[in-house]
Amino acid sequence: MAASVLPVLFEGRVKAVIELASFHQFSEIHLAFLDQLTESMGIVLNTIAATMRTEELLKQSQALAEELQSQQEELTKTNKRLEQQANTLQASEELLKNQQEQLQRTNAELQEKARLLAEQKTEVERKNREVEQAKQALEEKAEQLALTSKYKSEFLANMSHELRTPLNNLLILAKMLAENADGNLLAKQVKFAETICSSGADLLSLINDILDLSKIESGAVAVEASEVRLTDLRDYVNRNFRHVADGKGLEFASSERPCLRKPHWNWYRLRCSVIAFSVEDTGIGISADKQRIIFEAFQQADGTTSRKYGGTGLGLSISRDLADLLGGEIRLLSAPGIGSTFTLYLPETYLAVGQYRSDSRTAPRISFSEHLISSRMKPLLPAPDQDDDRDDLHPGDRVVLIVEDDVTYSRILLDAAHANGYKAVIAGRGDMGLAMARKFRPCAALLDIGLPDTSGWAVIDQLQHDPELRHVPIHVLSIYEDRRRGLSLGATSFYRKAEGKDVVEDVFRRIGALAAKGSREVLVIRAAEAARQEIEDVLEIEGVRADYVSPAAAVEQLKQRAYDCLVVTGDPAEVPVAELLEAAAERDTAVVIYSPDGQAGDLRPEVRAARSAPQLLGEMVRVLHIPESALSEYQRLKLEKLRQTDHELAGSRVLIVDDDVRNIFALTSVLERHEIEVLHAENGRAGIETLAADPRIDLVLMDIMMPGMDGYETIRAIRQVEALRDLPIIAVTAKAMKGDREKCIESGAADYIPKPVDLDQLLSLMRVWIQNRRQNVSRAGSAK
Amino acid sequence: MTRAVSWPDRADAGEGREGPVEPVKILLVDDQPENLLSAEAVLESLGEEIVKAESGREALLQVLDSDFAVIILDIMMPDMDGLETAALIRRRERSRLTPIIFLTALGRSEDHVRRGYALGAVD
Repeated sequence: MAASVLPVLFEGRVKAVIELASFHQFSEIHLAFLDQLTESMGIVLNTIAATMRTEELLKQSQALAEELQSQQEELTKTNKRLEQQANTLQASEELLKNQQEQLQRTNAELQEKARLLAEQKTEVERKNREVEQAKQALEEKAEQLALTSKYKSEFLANMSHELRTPLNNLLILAKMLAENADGNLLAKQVKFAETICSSGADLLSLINDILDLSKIESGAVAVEASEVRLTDLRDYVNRNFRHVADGKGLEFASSERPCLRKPHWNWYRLRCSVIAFSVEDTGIGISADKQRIIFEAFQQADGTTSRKYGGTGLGLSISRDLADLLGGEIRLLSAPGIGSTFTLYLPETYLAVGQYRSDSRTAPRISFSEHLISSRMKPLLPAPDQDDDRDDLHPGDRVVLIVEDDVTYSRILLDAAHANGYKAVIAGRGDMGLAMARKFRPCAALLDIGLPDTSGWAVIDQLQHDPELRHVPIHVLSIYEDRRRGLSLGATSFYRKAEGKDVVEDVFRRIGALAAKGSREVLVIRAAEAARQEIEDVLEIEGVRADYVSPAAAVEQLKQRAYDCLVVTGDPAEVPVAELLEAAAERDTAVVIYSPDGQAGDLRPEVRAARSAPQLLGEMVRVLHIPESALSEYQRLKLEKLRQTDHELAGSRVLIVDDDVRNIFALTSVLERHEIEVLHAENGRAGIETLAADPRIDLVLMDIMMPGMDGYETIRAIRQVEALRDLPIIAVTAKAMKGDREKCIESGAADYIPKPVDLDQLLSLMRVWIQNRRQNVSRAGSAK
Repeated sequence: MTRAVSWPDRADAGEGREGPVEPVKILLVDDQPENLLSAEAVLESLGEEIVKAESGREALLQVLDSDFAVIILDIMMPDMDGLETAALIRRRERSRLTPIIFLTALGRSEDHVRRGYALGAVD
């Protein structure tokens, strides 16, 4: 057995394997044949494989072609759709184009219409202007008319004044002559005087009639309709005319027809002019042709009758006009030789007809010399000299007010305020400082004394006298050294600027300490029961705690606890005042001496004295820095009452030197309200004489603009007098001119105040200077 | 004519504290001396002290210097008229209650009357 395995190769790669088995051995020929055969078989097999592959590829490509075709078809469809849409779009576009054209047309039409409207508008405006012009012209004419009428009335009023004044004198004096009280005139002379008198009286009644008539004609008479009882009217007529008739020996009778009731009537006018409802007489009568003219002014039936019967010829004119005014008329029935009957017909109810001068209805115009004293002025706050926080304030901010004209120093203070967590507002003038204090309600004020417009002393005083600002602590930072004066005016602390940066820090430490404080603690020296009750009432303030101790224990208590304030009362003999003050000063405790009898003695400036419970309350507001709004209503009322008169000024003597009596009078009136004694002089010389004659004058208010010797000159002259060298003089100038103040102070005035005078400021200046003078005097006295 | 016939009663009522024996002071204010003369002639018989002033200015000075039982004021005066003078007198506490009688030769113009009474004139 033989087996042969033959690889079928094509190009060196095995394509197939032939396995042959035989019972015989394969010969060489066989093998050679097989070898050749495998070669051809390899080629055949390869060909078959290639053909199969080709076929397969063909199939694949056919499938792809089919797919391609189907996709193409779809594309064509899409294309068609697109085409359709494009068509639709085009149609829409055309439509739009149409519409746009239409719109453009409409627009053009509208524009045309608008143009037309504008034209019409200008036309209307032009017409309006014309109407306006016409109206103005009319108004002018009306004004002219009113003016003319006013001139006429004024002329008449003035003329009547001019005529009546001399006539009046004539009448009075002639009457006195006629009375011949001294009995030294002849009967003939008395007769003359009587004639002057009666003629004068006639003239006077004529003038009165003219005035009445003109008043009615000009509409100056207003009707005041009110109910009049007929019986009253009848009484009035009887009372006034019966005796006239009796005097002439005529019979007089009045009767009432029952149908007449309650006429509305100008009762007031009726009493002045002689009319009645129906007046019948049995006199000479009036012929028909004269019946009309007698109602005209100055006409009588017979030009000669006036001599015979008297009368001015105006009575009937007045009567007719009055009847018109009341909406009625007068009828006359008369026959010569028989008599006349005048009948006044009035509507039962009065209806306003004429027009009354409206200006007589307005409130009375009274011209005061208001130019001198103004109420509190509210200066507008001008832009600050430098930036501060006034535009950057929020509720809850703690604001410090800086009143300082030195820009560098106020900057330092501003920075210090910021460093300590405060906002700050800066005022470069005293008046602005006050206005800003009122506006911004600061928690403390830092104040300079040398200010451009007023002295810081007056600013302290005004802050201290403003109920809403009194509690604000004032820290003075100044180059002045008058610490005593500052503290006695009410400053909380007084520093010299020269003391350096520590000063500023100290000030803010104090402000901070006050803000951090919860309740205020007061130590009261126990006093007599009555005073104690008063003090307890005063200290009944929310956030205030009071301890009451005996005089003996007071000093020890003061050393143990930090009190805000010590109230000392009681008999000076029992209370160790000096020791207490010493202890208080050490602990920086404020001291108020409460002595209703006024015996406080000479005190240190920081020690305040109170003479009454309300005064003590005022001191508590100041010393404890409690706003008045925190007090009870009753307490506030007490303080309000206390403020009505200025106790610090009461009893002082003030000289006013002013050439205008009005100013003197107005100032006197207001100063007297504060129980100030006021003297006055109308010029500088008289002022100096008054001062020389009265050494008790405490202060002078000097007008600067005076004819002859002016205020500057007068002040200089006063300063020449040894005894008057320290007398405080406050200059009053007509208007605040730059440099006025310097000029006043240079000439020797203590301070100055511009007109119109702010009353609060004036009182404040007076307090500051009168107090200063008293202190100087008392110190000079004690020094001796 | 505005003439105050009833003035003595009113003056007495207003100034009750004046003693009956002591003559009271009456201030007469008029810019025309003739008017002062005749007014004085009328008032002389009362036996009171009569003080005369020829202007509102003078009147104010007089009022500052002494208290008057009654003031008789002319309305029409140059510079400061009677109404203004009265207004000033009224505004001063001390002279607020002094009776003022306006004297005028003007007609009883309502405006004047109203203004006069508004200022506290008694007649």
